[in-house]
Amino acid sequence: MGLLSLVYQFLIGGVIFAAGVLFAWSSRDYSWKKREDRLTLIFMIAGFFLYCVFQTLWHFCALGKI
Amino acid sequence: MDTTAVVGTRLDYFVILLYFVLIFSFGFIFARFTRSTKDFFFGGQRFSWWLITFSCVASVVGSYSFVKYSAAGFRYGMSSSMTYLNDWIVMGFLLLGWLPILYFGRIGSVPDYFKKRFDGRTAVMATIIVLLYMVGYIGINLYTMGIALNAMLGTNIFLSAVVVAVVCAVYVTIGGQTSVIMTDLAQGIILLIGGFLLFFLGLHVLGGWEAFWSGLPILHRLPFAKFNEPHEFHFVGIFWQDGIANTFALYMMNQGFILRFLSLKSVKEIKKTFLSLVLVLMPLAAFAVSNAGWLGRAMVSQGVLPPDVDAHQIFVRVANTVCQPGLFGFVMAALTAALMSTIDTLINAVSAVAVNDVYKPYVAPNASDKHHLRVARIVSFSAALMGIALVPVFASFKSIYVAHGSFTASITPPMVVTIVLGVYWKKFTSSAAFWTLFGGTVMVVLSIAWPVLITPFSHGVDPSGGFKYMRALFGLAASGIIAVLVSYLTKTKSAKAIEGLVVGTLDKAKEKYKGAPANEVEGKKVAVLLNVSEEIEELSVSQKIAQLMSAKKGDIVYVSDARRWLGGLRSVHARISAIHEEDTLEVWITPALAKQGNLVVDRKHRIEKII
Repeated sequence: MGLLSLVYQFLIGGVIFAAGVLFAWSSRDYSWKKREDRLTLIFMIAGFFLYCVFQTLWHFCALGKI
Repeated sequence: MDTTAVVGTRLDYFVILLYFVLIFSFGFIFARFTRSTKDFFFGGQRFSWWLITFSCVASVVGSYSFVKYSAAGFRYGMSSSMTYLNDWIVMGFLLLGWLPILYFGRIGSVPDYFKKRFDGRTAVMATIIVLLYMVGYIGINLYTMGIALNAMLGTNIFLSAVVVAVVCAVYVTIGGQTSVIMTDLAQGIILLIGGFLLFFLGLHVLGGWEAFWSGLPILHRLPFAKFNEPHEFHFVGIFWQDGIANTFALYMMNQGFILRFLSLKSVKEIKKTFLSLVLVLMPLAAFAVSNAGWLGRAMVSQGVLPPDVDAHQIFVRVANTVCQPGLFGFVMAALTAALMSTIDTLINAVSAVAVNDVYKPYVAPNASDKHHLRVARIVSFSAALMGIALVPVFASFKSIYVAHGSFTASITPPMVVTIVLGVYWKKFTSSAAFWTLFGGTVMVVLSIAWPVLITPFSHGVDPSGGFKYMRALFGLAASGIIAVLVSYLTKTKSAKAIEGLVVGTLDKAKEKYKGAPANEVEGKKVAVLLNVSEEIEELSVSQKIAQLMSAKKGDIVYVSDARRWLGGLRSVHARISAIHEEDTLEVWITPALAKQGNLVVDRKHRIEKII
């Protein structure tokens, strides 16, 4: 129940998120060597996974499967 | 619509009155920091991330948010929060693309960007769309506030909207962006506290978490709605309309947010602001604005509220049920805070576009800044009046959610596509940008007349609802196709002409911003003694300070009062014009800069290199 919505959110949403990050990161504007760039990237990716884990747990908790 | 008044006590009215006095005082106190159009629109580009983050939450959460998401929460459950929990999707585009380009390019608005990146006619069209978008937002916020006051006091919806609009317009007109930011800081805190307070009081009335949770049907507990039904509220439509089109539009074309981000002291602060907003405060805001609806559903299950309660009034009904006199007034003040903090941002933003993109370049290009400031104040007040005029239009829709969704789904997709491709695709031509805006808007309007056009994008949604949400995906696709086709048929601008305006050329934007190659060597913040001298050009630092900051002559630095809680209210950017030999921690600055930054000389200060 509602699993399709969950998958769509993080699959299609994840692709759009990744496109925004990868297109910019593959340009010469950003570098892993710069601390500010590195931290921004880490926080963004960590944020994505936090949302993914949080809402997945919420979904299964709501269904009483956890 | 049910117009049964849920009347508060005198204590509640006193609390609401106290709130209005507090906000007015904030507005007037900080009005003295506004001396120029730069202060009026950008707050002097001096603020810290935490201050802007809270004020952004206040701006995101409109009064329509409490009413709309509580109603959605009551009808469909916890999935009402999904709109606020998908802003992470745009993080990459915003933090690595759009916002650094805006900041370093000293670009004040979307039309300004379009003028530089494309041409004048595209900028004119963008101006019209942006103004429509923002004035429409003012209208829907005023309308929902009217509904809330109607439910609470039984007052006329239109009259309530007029009163609130005038109150907002007065302090925005006087204080500009600084007043908006400072009042929104207070209002952001009030609305979050109000939302959470309501939930804990609601749990108490229901008998605890278990009673609340068991009072919700299974479907109401899920984080996402059903995939494609019912047509009024389904996941895939909300995903494309709210999560993608509206979120991009909110952060990319809503002038209120552009001004807010540009009021920060550096791009680093923009990143901190956006990350803390999306990862911390938006989830809190989602909870604050929706939980009255969830509580309402549990209360109906337990017989605390009648089953036929109007979803539009659920926020006020729940607040009235769970709050003691005084607390009800505080929660209503939170609702009012949500409205005013959104309206004030939009009023200031409409003024910025009208003055910077229309009046300055086309009407009075040679007038003084004082004259432009006066015009900005007149436009601010006029924007509030235009919002009032739209209230009857939004009142004609059956549901606020549908009214808001229809409005944003129609107006935003062509603009979003044009901005994203403008920033990310060097081959995107000026003609393509113009035809994307024009053709995309035409296609969206055609899809309103013939919803069958949207069928290939419908994801199985019932067409009887007119595909109100799926129109966003159709608009994005149609605009994207026009953009690509016209780009391949027309001539691209030279690489030189778009330097600093597209991803991959940020170093050029930084160079233009500074007037010299950027110094990105990491340095430290330094506590310093501040002195004023008329004998220096701009700012002079000791050799020791320069070394600690890893700064050189010509670098742009930020001098601020050491009291962090001021959030940058007393601060200024300056260029290092000289480095003196002394081995001290002293900084010398011109009296004009000290005045511009409201710096107090005998106070402790901090200095840091920006670029």
